[in-house]
Amino acid sequence: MNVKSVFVFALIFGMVAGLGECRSEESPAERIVWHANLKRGLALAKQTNRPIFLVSGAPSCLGVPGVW
Amino acid sequence: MQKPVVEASREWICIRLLTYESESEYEFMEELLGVQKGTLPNTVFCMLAPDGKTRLSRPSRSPSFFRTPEYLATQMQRLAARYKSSVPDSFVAPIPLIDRVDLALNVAASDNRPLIVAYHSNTDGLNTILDSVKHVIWEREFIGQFMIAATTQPEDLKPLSGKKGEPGLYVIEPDEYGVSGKVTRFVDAQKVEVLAKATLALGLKSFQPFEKNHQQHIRSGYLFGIEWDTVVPESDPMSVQAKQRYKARFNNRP
Repeated sequence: MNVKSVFVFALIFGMVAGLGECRSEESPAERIVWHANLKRGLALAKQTNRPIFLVSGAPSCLGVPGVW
Repeated sequence: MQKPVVEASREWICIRLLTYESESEYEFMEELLGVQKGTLPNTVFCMLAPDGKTRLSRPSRSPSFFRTPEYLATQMQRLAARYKSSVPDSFVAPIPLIDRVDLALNVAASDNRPLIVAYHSNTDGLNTILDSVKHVIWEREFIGQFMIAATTQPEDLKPLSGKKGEPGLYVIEPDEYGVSGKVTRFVDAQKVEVLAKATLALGLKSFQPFEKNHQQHIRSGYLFGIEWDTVVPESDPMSVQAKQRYKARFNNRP
């Protein structure tokens, strides 16, 4: 993966903190709203007729939590 | 650089599943990705039509085949334009809840974001809190900024330090690993309607994300004995092997 495609992946899994510009939390960067439940997410997509951007990831690496 | 994708995402329902935390979701992703049973990798990506079945992109492990965030955003806009929203502008979507408080703490730590937990010992009371805060959660200044969970179980609040046990809305800063959290703000259940917005604004303003180094985080996690048990055993062959190798190296260190 090149640098930009790595960035796309990082963006999705929220790993951009510390990689980009520093921002105080008074004006935090805009973020994607993630629905974390498949059933409720699919129902909402159907209700609103919006397409679905689906990703999945594990919030642990080598068994250690707190990181994607 | 990320802004175009975030903006494009507003026309989509973005679902981020937690790969090994639900058996039914695991099975759904196995089928979507077309992998052999019990071999689901730890990341999955796909774009779907509103019916949840028609594929708008090929399923894969990540959206990296779009190459750049700009190109991904352009494609997202193009695809979303095919579908006309079926709800009025006044529609307020349900709060995007994470199913368990412990998991929400972990996700919040992984995203380096604050967590909101709504708590009431009875379901009606909890629903009232969630209804009262729903409009605030979707306000522009808060959208996507918090992870959110809800519970009627007081034991779910055990990992939290600070004020807890009263029904209401808790704003929490997770620790670096998401195994505990500090309550930084609280709104009593009776005052959520009036005070939620100001409280969330203060919670967000005072939030200080960790500066994490991925390798250091894992090394320290092993040193502290912090390990996460998934609901479904991890089945990504590369990840499982990497974990075994890392553990062996760690245990054999001088």
